[in-house]
Amino acid sequence: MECKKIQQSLASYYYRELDIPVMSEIARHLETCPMCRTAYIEKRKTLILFSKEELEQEKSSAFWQDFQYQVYQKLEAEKTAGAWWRSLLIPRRLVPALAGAIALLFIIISSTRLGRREPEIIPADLQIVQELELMENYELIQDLDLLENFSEAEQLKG
Amino acid sequence: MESKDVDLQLIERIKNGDQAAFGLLLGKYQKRAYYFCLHLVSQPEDAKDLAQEGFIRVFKNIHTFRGIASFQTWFYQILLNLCRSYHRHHYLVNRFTFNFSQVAGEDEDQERTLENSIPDPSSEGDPQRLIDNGDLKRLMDKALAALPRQQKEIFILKHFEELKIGEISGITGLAEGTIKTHLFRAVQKLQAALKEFKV
Ligand SMILES: [Zn+2]
Repeated sequence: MECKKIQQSLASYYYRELDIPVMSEIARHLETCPMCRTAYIEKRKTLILFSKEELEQEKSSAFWQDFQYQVYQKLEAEKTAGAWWRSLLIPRRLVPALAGAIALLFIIISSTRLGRREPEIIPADLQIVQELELMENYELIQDLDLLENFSEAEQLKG
Repeated sequence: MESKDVDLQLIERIKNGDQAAFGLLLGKYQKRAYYFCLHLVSQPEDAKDLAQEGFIRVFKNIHTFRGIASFQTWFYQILLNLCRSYHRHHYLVNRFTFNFSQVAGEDEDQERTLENSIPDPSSEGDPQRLIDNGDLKRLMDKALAALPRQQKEIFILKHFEELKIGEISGITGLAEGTIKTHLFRAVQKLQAALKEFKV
């Protein structure tokens, strides 16, 4: 095996994740090739440095007790929320009947309204409401600007 | 009895409504779940939330577990997906916040993500000072955080979780050769990052 290929396999060699013949071949190569040996020593040094002990600081037993307690709390919260939501849901056995009813209703409506599509006119009231919303947003933006100017002035003063 | 047989027994008991069995599973895997998430997301509080959410998903979906793969594989898949969603969410939030303050038209250059950069050692101040201050851990955390997503996931599963390449393949769905390549690149980058600091 050439040096480039050896060096590409050094991480897998370190973790002993190569077939036995390849492991032995690399071991033999490292004994005779100073360049690959240095590369391996450097890699090994890095990997030893990234140790669990260094990066996984031990937590107290209280931490793990809290951890478990919180899992149960979250599960309980979800169960309660689930129960609340479930009360709003339709019982599973009624779903096919309800789907059939909706489909039938849709067929009836579409057959009676077929061919007379109404133009999309925005009623005058709705238009006024939309304009009012726009004005409100505009006022909000102005208020925010005012607040920003005020805080800037305060900072300058300070 | 082997660890995976113990897991299967516990899972059967949980399926039958035995809550104590869930407690045992939680006790067995909580450390691994927490540290795995911590390596992936770097924020202790978020790591705790994600690991806890992992257990909640296990409990809620226990009936879908068929035992074809080991519980460990299934659990790591759940945690990995949670951490990936976390990163996606944070990436979108950061991107949105960032774009908000950008002059229009400039954001096309900002396509780079966390994935593309090893931390710039020059921005860290005097390297010798960092090491003298015992800040090696922070440097290693940063080097790890800067790895591209797949390289980081694979390095963590191999190095810290001490899984076999075959097991990592089961979790990630990647071919063993691809995993070895990612591992090689991850180690190269970590080595380069530490070398800059003459560690
Ligand atoms: Zn060589």
